[in-house]
This record gives sequence, C-alpha cells and structure tokens, in this order.
Amino acid sequence: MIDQAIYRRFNHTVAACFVIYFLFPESILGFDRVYLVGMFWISILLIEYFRLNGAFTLDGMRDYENTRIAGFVWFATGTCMILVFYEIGIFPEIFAISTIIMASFVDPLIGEVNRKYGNKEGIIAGLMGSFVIYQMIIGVLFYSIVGSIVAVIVERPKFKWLDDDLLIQIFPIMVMTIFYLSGIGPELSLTLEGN
Amino acid sequence: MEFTKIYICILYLVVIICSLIFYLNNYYIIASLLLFGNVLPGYKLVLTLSDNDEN
Repeated sequence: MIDQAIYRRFNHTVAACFVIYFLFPESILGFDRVYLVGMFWISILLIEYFRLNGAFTLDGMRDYENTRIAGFVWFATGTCMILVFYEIGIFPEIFAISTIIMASFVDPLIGEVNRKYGNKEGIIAGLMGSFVIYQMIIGVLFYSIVGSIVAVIVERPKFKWLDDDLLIQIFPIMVMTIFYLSGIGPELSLTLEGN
Repeated sequence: MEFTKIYICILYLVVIICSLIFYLNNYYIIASLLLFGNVLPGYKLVLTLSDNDEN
C-alpha cells in the first residue's frame, strides 16, 4: 500500500494545474470553454456518486469519507465556481489564478504542519505560504495580506457538510474581489499579462 | 494498486506538461510555482512507492 496521506497531499498539490484553463482558447471545437468546466464538474459528481454507492474504491480517502462527500469533490466544486464566476466577469483573472494555486498548496501545507508540529505552527505556515503565493502572483501587498488572512481563518472550522477545500477558495477570492470592486483595495493589473 | 500507479504517473506528466506550457508562454512565476509546489509531495510519494517495490 502507498502512504495514503502523502498520496492525498500530492493529489491536492497537482490540482494547482487547473490554472492551465486560463491558457485554453476561448472556444474549443465551436463550444465556449466554460462548457468544459460544467462537463468536468458533472464527471466528478458521477465518480463520487458511484464511489459512495460502493461501485469502486479510491485510494487516498479518509475513513469518514466512506459515507460523506469526499474532499476532492469540494475542491473541484470550489475551482469550478471560481472559473464560472471568472467567465461571467465577476472574479478577476489574477485573483482566480492566485487563489486556485494558493488553495492547492496551502491546505495540504497546513494539514502537514498541524500533524507534525501543532495547530499554532499550522496557522503560521498557512499565513506565510498563502502570503508568499499571493505576493508572487498578484504582487500587491494589500491583497496578499487580506487573502492570506481570510484563507487561514476559513480553513480552521470543521463542518460536517461543508469542507475547507471549498471555503479556502471561495472566501479569499470573494473578499479580495469585494475590496477591489468597492474601491477600498488598491488598483492592480487584473490579468496575468500585466504581472 | 496498478491503477493507482498509472494514475500517479499521469499526475507527474500533468505537472511537467503544465509547467512547460506556462514556461513557454513566458509565465515563469506560475511555471515555477507549479513545478516546485509539487516537487516535495511528488518526491515523497516516489519514496513510498519505491519502498513498497523493495518490500
């Protein structure tokens, strides 16, 4: 058997590659690329439906996920929501890319540091990790601080029917977007090209 | 188990190809983040896989 915890972490960090979506052409085979997001989400739901019904087992699942929606579904849902809201024109591209990468790396980082060193260290690692990623991609101190604080705050509470994999994506990007659109946050280049 | 090994190989490929595409499009920061963010968990996973093969 492979180490389930490491396997789970690796699956989580590979999810950062979802940002390749932003390099796709606007239209694929005559269809708007946003349809890809819908197809992807439905296929994830189908996999989860059959897994929960015992049609097959997947490696890397936690014990409690045998009867509950798995983390990968929550993560995929969060990413798909970000991509759809980006296509609608609500979330800026730079926030979407940075948040997907941040969530992919920081959630497993917090989990690993929590497990090895303790909760306080997990919070510090989460703050530092998300700040560095936001700063590298967005490059505006205000959004890096706001995004990293919100990401770590929403990662802490544990709910039975709502997972931090979803919250750690939706809340930071929502708060940053609200700050930007309301004019409280500083101006920035909204696309990757400008950074 | 065999399926999982193939799946892991595909994940490695996905990381390498995505990093390469971002690099070729001159998005060096994104390319580096994708690559280096996956290096440690990817390496640890290789270690556990090779341990299993030895056993």
